Amino acid sequence: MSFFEIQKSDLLKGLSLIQGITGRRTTLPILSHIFMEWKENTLFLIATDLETGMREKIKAEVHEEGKASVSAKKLYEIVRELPEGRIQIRKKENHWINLTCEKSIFNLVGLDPEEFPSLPSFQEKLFSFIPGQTLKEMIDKTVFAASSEESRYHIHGILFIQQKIYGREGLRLVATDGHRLSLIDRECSPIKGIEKGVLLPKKGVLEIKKVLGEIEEDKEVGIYFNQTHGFFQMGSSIVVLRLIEGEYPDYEQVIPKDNDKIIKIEKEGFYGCLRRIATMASERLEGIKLSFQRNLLELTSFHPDFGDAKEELDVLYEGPPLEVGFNARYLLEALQVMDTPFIMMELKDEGSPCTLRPETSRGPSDQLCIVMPMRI
Amino acid sequence: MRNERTIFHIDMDAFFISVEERDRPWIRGKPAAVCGSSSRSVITSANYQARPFGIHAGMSVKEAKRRCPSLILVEGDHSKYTETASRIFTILKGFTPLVEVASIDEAYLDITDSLLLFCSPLHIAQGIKERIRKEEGLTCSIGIAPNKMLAKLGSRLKKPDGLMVIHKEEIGEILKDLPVEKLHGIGPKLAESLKSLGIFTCGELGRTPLTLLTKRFGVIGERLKEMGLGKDETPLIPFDQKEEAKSIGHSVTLEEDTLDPQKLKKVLFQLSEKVSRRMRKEGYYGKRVTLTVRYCDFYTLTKQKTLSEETHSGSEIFRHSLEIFESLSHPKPIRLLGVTVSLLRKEGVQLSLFEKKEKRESLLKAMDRINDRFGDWTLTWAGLY
Repeated sequence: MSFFEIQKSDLLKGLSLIQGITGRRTTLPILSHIFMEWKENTLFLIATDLETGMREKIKAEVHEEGKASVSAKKLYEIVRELPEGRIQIRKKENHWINLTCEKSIFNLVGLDPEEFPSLPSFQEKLFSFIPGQTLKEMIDKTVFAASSEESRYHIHGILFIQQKIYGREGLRLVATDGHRLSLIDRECSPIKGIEKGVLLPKKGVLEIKKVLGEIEEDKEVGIYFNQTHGFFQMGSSIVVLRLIEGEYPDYEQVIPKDNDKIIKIEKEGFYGCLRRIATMASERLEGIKLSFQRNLLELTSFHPDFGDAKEELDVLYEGPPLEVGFNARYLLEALQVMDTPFIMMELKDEGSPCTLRPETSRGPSDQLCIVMPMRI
Repeated sequence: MRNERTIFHIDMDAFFISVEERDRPWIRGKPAAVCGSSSRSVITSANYQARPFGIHAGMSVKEAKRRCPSLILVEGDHSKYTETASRIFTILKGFTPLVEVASIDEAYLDITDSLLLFCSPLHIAQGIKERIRKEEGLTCSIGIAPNKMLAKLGSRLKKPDGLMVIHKEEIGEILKDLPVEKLHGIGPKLAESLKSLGIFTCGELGRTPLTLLTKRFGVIGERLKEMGLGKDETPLIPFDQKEEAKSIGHSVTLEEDTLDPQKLKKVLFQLSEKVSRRMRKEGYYGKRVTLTVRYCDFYTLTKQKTLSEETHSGSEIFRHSLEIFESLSHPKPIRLLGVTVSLLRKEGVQLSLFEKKEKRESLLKAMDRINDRFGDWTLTWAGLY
């Protein structure tokens, strides 16, 4: 009889990683299922919403090969409650499975595993490798700026593009929601298929981020892109993303080149000040006003129902007075992904894009946030 | 525990003429009416002594004089009525902040939560009547009911100086034999159509199958059925002097009913331009576009669309209203079109990185300046011609 044995903690870890992918689309019942295949002392778990797919590889003691497809949520709920120890899962008639652990017995309804959509195929030898922590940092510092809504500009995607950095090979990630943009460059070996750039859906990229948080720090991530999909191999997980077809806006064109008003600001002080002033900004607009004078920044906000607020901050600035409105959240989220004690803010006027970057000593920076002002 | 919803409808009795009677004691007790200033004007308010002669608001002065030669006519002083009304609304706000001013002489009050402060609805109603009588020397009628429609009915049924409470459990009994036209919102034309279906009373209206009503009256069928049953969930919209405009819209009745897409498109464009022009003048941006279409049989429908970004540009508004227009199938020639923009906000707009709105905005500003100076439609888009 086809069955396998597995350690509860191993199965639970795999199931919890893969949960996020299943059940998002309910029109096809099988997509809320998890596909299991056990062979050669390995259990493979597969979930997909047809845009993002994921495969987990877990060590198991396989007695006879088999496949099954059961509700991902229900299986997860059951396994979560089981005592630590060995779980036996066996295949039954009509695609049912039987799960036993110590004295607990569960029989689960299943669907025909052959009906489960297969993941796009890939060849491991095509993978390029970059450090997992580098990829995680790059995603962390960009994904927040991507739009959560689909729009005609495909800005719910995150751009992965090959980039020369000081003459060396590198990877660039870009995300924008049309109001602000975040960009990061990191040196790494070339990745096949992204010479002209590919667009990955925000949801899928967030899944990659989640898995990256689970793997060991020094692990390498294998990446490979074909015409339609991107493949990310992280430890025992593989995440497959369907690429977004369509044009990404010309982001290079909106990177300001003549912002001549340059302000150096202490990051933590600026962050705290923004948070305080934002409490008095109207909820819908979140608009606040920044007034720059010589070595001084005054932040003000006004709420039609509650009142107003003002705070001054010492900054390094030599230029003429300038008053600009911003969405406080955009500035806060940009500051959150800057790691240096000081940041550089560069402006032109109250209607042109403003750049924020970490203050680094090595000339042009490898990380950039652009925030478009608000008319207040 | 939350009290049951309790709504007041306060209706001033023969408001304009009562104000005049208060200020001119010598006309009291005689047939009298307020009229406009021009010779072709109409009666705007008649007192209860004039009403037995059949004189009512809207009747021409000539006709009123014919019916009652002794009728005393007073030329209306609108600012006096507005001032009086605003003092009355202040009195009402002393009882609850939730006051919806329905017109110059009537208001809705939601006293659901004020009941915890004051004893009973009747107590509040008597307090209101007392204060209006003492401070303004005027009388009013008050309807108390679980919703706006029934409250309005209540104040109408007991006039003048009346007070009527409609309890939830009495609704059926009160509506059973009430002619449909007594309900606010059912005008003579609609009442005629209902009668042609054999529906004379609210009770009958409530019993009529929904399918029949929707088949005959379209979307308002559902509302009619609810009216017959005495149901009304319409929220009370508190009035605040400071309150900003909620929407900006224009509508136009076409010269003749038509289904010609070219003509209709042009009208939509004109309406969109007009709306956007007013929005810019008053400094608004809006996020929702609503299209109103009235067909030749007066069947009217509205459909709206929420935009991803705020706008005050006529071509944007046109693009969206046209999209709505084309999403509807139009079974009959169209009589009226309307375009409204809501979810308005004054200034405070997030600029976009990729869409170069700046240029377009300065173009619009320049066009507005020219049109302000030389008159509307001096400079417009080629698409209009």
